[in-house]
Amino acid sequence: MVKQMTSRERVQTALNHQEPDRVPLGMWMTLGAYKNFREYLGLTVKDQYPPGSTTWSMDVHVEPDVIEKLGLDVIRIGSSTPDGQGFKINENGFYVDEWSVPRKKVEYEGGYYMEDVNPPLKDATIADLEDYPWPDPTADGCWNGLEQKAKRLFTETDKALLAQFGRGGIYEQAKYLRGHEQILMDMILEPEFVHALFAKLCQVEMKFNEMGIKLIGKYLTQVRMSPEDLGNQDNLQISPKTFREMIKPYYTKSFGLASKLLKEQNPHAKLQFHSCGAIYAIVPDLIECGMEVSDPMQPIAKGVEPARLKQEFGDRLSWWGGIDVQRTLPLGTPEQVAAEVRTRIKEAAPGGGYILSSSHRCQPDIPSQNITTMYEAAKEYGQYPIKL
Amino acid sequence: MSVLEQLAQSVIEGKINEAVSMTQQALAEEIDAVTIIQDGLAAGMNEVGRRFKAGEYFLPEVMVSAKSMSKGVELLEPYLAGDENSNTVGTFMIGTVKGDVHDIGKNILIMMFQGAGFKVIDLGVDVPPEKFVQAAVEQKPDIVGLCALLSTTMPMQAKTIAAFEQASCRDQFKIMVGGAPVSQDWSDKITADGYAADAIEAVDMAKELLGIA
Repeated sequence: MVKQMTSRERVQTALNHQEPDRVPLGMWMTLGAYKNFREYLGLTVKDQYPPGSTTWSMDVHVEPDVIEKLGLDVIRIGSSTPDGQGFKINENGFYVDEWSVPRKKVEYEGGYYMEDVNPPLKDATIADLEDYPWPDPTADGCWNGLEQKAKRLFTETDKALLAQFGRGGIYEQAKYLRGHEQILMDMILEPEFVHALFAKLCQVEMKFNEMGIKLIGKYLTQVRMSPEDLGNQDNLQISPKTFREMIKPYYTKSFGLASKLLKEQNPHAKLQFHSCGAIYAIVPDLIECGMEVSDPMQPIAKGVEPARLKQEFGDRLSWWGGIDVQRTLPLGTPEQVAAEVRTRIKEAAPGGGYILSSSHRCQPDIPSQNITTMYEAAKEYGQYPIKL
Repeated sequence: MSVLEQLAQSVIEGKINEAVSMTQQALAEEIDAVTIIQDGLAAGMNEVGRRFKAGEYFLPEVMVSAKSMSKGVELLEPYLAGDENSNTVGTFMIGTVKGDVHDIGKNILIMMFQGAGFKVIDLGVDVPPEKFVQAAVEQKPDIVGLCALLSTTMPMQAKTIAAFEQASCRDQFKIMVGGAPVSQDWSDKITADGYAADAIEAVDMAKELLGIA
């Protein structure tokens, strides 16, 4: 019998590639799913919740009462927009985010996303980049109250704290600023422009992380870099060669600085990086850049089968995620959810290095019962030593 | 290498200017527009599709090749004048379902279908069920394709199929579904006629549904 750990010890032990008392549990949810889930748990539901990781990703920072009630281990926190506000409305009626990207509300059943329209740098030249109204990571609005909040959560709870400071990233943010198809073509047709844009975005990302880590790094177990979606369901969006030429140099700089500053504040804290999809071919590159926790483990994307990842990279890499939000959680029965949790723990948990969570944000299409089942099953099967 | 082979090669290599000049040269050699498309531009795009499926090409390469092809097709449009219908293997109507605005996958699919000789009608993104039905009734495609990238918008594929049933025209069209979270099980459950995991399989599935495989 392993001695019972606090949540923070559990997460740190797992991320140090050792076996804690049980598999640590994380959570990531959209606003719509969160409201449904709070109601299901019999907790009060507010009309509004502040945006989570970015203004437009429609996720929330799940509150400590839910984390406590379910016995989860990680609380997420982060920066706010430079003006401390959410979207502004422009003269055409579009919502405008902190990068001056116009967005419109696109509703699906049970929720909505703020989808980018009219990319502002669509026709820009390198010279235009200097005059662009980049978000200012040094603005007070980004950081108001964050230090007090982190300190309070650190002292008043035993939870691990995961923070994201960056508000858009490099490749991902370029898609919104330049247009999804255009930035892909630019990689071949306008590589100099791409480098100029990525260099600028890298500067902004680095400054966000520098500010945030210096402010609250000592309280954190993980810093999550701005999300970057490099993979599709079946393959990378861009070739490994293009990744290495066009993107990796910026990750090397950005991850490198974040990692250095973080370890100075807290030698045990880890760098977490989010990319969806079939990224197998560049996992070693991402490790080389400084990724220590890969987020998410996405079980049904091609080539990133959990057992394969664990076998090849398990000694160097930890994972967040693993329980499929594309099919099992929204469409499966509670029994199927529990079975997937069991399989995932068997594959990913031995030796530590695994935080179980949904493989992406829980959206409103996931029955609340499947979410509680996921965590109940994880507590049942996730006791170390794993005997499955 | 013949001019059409060179044209195909310029599409494969994503050389936009060369695709334009080779298309012009083919016209100057009095090759008819349909042949220039089929044996030049579309032939090149088919090879691009093969390389994408094989994991040799990625989105940037496909996008630039697609642009090369569409620049060539633009030049040929005045010469096609009503001719294109007689040479298509079928008409494929496509859109991303309501609530979903993701269209890179759809746009690649369109290129592959054009490359395979289909006439494609693109309804765009965030397309409500009633718009699918209305457009299909008016334009009479052989196949209607419903794209969804998100698990939250997959149910809209079912609702769109239901709208065809309510309008009593479900049996006039073959309906295909696709998108990252979509599976054969889902396709069966919502009574679609066909599912494909990627753009190349989708072309094969469409041909199978039309009995021209």
